[in-house]
Amino acid sequence: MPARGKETKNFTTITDVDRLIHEPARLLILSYLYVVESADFLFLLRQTNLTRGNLSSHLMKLEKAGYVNIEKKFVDKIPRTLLSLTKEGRKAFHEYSQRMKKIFRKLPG
Amino acid sequence: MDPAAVREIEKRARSALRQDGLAIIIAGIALAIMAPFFLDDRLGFLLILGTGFYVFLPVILKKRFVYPRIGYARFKEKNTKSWRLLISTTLLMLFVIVLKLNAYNWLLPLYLGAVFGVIAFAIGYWHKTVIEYVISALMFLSGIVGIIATTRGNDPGLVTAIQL
Repeated sequence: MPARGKETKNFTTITDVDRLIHEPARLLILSYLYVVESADFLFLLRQTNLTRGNLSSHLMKLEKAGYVNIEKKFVDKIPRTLLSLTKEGRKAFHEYSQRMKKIFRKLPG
Repeated sequence: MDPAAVREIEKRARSALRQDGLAIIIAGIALAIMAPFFLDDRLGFLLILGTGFYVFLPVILKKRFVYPRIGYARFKEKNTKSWRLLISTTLLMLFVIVLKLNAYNWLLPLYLGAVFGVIAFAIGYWHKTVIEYVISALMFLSGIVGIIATTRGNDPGLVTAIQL
């Protein structure tokens, strides 16, 4: 294979990244959920500095994709929305991270 | 994911949950409760009261005040934290009692400074927070100051009580 063709093939992996995860706000949300077992809505709200509506909308997208599990319950009569990564979400995030690492290794500069 | 990046985010998440300093404030109050024991051996119940205060009060207060305000996050090593705390404080109590029984009372301030310093360092290491390292250094320093005070003829019990 000519060198140029190989190079092109290497860079096509950029377009294969999971775009759902690639969005900065969702990437931040998933990063926090990746390091915890579960967290509530308020914790993520404070850590990500997103607005309630924005965070809620991103979480709904992630839930729809099966990456995040949203559990609403009452703790001492106080409502708590517990969020956690699903097995699939954890795997997708790990794969995304590995792919990005590979891409950055190949990038010039 | 890059382990260094994971550690960094985890560190930030853990620091966020401890930013109000509740655990440190309670530790300070617990030590203040224990302090009179070193002036009078008959006040042994204060050691138990202080330990109980330190082990159980943060759990109760966090549920009531911290989680509704800062948010709640559970890390992967659940259920081990309170056991670690309980074991370390029990060991500490045993060591204090043993030390109170022997003839080396003048070593008490240095000994306690070292023990609390190690505990603070371990907590800082587990939670990946800086403030505990500072407290650890202060504990060691207080131990050194304490040993200087006792070697100059001050009552070890009084020095330890002031130190705590």
